[in-house]
Amino acid sequence: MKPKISRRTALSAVAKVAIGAGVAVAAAGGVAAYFATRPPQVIEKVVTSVVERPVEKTVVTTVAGVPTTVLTTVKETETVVLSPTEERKKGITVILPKHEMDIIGWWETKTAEFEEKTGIPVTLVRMPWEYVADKVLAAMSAGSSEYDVIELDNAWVAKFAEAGWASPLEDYPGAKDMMEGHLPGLIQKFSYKGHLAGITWNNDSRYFMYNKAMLEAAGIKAPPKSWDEFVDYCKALKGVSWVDSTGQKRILEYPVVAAWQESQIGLNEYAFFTYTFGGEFFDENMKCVINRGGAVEALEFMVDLINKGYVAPGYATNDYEMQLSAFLAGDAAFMYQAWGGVYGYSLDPRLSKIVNQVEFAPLVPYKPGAAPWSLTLPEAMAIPKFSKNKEYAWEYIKFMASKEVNKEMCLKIGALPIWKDLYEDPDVLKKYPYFKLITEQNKYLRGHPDLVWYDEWATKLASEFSAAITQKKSPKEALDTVYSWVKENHPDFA
Amino acid sequence: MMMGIKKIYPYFLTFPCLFFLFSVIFFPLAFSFSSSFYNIFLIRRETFFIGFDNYIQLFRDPYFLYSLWVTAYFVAVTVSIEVSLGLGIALLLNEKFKGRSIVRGLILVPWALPSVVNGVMWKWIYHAQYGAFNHLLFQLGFISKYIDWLGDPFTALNMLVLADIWKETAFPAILTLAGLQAIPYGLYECAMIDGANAWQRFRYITLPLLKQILAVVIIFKTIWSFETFDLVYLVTRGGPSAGTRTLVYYNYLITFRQSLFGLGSAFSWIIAIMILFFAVPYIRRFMLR
Repeated sequence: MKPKISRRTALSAVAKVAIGAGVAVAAAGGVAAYFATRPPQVIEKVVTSVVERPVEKTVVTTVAGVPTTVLTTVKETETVVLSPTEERKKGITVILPKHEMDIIGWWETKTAEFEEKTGIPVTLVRMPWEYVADKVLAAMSAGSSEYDVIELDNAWVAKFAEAGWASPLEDYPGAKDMMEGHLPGLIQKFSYKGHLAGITWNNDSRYFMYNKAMLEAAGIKAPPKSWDEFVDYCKALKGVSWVDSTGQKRILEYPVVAAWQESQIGLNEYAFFTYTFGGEFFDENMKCVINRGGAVEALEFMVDLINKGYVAPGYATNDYEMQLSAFLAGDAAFMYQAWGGVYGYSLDPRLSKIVNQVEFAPLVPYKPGAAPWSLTLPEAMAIPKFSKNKEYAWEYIKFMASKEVNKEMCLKIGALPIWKDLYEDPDVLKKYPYFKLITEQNKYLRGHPDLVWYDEWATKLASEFSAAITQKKSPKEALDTVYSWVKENHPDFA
Repeated sequence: MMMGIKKIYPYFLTFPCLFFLFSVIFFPLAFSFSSSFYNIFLIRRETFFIGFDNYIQLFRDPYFLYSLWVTAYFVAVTVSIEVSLGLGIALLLNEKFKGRSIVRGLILVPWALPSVVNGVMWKWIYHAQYGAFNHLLFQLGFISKYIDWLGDPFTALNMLVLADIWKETAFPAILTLAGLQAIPYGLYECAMIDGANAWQRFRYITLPLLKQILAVVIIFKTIWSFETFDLVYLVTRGGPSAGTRTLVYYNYLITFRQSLFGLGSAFSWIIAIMILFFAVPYIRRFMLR
């Protein structure tokens, strides 16, 4: 017998599925919107809780008006009320992206050391930046006290400070020392309207690296100082025969491997070109000037590099991982915005075919009349205002950003120091002599513009940037669209 | 007294379920609907009633309209190919041949692959310089030089379609196979005695009896294709030039990246209505005849 489903039953089932799916999509939006718009549930008073734990004798005393439980020798179990201080000792939750150079789990080891030293348990959440961003932004929007130490990206400073999501840190004990000892650019980047919103944990400044063996094979003795020179070198390098570190003879097809993906990655690259062409996204009065001068020239230059055949295919969707792979495989001569760790990777024969062939340029190429700006994309630790364990969160930040720990981070995983002194530290210089070379570039470091609506701006600009890169629009046309959007949606900035 | 308790008792028992449904479905649903009429400024913690402005703004946004087109294309192509291909595979797997059980198991492998693994895998397969896809086509002589498959918006969209077909065809195939196995063989025998050829048997026996199951498969596939996010997020990030930015991905950018929750709520409702809109013709076509 053929199993038969009645028309009514089938229709009903299908309708339920369709309605259910519709409801689920709308409900997800509803949950997000509810948490986003609900007034922030700031709990100033630390909630005490009742726990069972072993005690022999309990003495209740008062410290600064707070009832405190003091324990003596352990013999039996008794129910006690935790004091606010003890409540905090239940631990903190830290959410930070994984450092791309930390392939040995150094941060986790150091966190364990912090726990051992202080007795403060730490739940460490580490995942790629994009996932951290989603979690942190959602938690802050919802006023959640889930996290005690959060990632503060360089592009979020204005937004987090204006929203009051990041607690001011300048008055915590030891903060002044850090403000004086850290690289001024990093302190400046994470300060907003006189308040310090975050303490840098990852000095992600970018430098110009090149493959010396390739340049020598093309008869070039020094890295390019200007963009005109860069183009001349690309011409000379295309098709050059050279030998990689494994002894293999190679032909270089494309001098440049670009990561011009329609995302923050592409925008990082575009910002670098814009600054080195003397362009700006916003002028000193925070008026949008993206559709004129250096910003347009920079984008035209990038498109020109593609059209001249100097940029390897895949540029429109490549991310940093792909760009790095190509550079280490010997498929590119330049990595014009390389992070510090690239040098370390290049020395590892398991990862690289260009061992001992990579050099730092003292400065990035730039257009005469402009300045050799390189990008700095540091990441900081911040304490959300919703945290119930701010003191312990600060203890963690103070420990992880201390000079000793930062020096160890530099020596163990090759991360760029955040303390000024460490660039002259004999141990550091012995291991990384090239740090001397980047001293000059460290004077010319810039980040993205401080905008409260940065994420909106980034989405819009990324789309138009990608349209220009894929030549669906001319650079001028694409940037005019961005300007028009700013004018319409944020008229104060136009 | 007893009568009173008897009356209350059913409500008492169903209360937890109703409370749960209200909390996670009806309340968020109503809140999302009301939010869609507000401009919500998270930074200043202010909300302004703006009526239908969020909806109007979306339909005036060229990127929204483009996402609509991208999604419509993606859904139309993936659903039609996956269901047709799935039907073909199911017909094949319904025949008796050596190793049939193994093949039936293998067909599920792509579907069982975690979405993230699938996305990362295709990102590298399509890579312009190191991708296996280019290498394979070059070795077979189909292309004379490596192609940047993700470099052009429309090509990139079709590459995502291909990746989706590879992963998702197993679902219609397995469901259709289950449907085929429920058709009594006697019907085919009778038809053969009456002189029906293979096409006629398929047209007049197989297809009508598979109608119900195909309708369910098409509806599920349409909804799932509409909701495609992971593949876009991992392979192209909606690019290049917004060429692969599906509605759901764009909604994610607006709601969670730009923190525009009012606009995002309106976006969610538009998607929900569209899913219902697509479901209705299928129901009428397959269920009401």
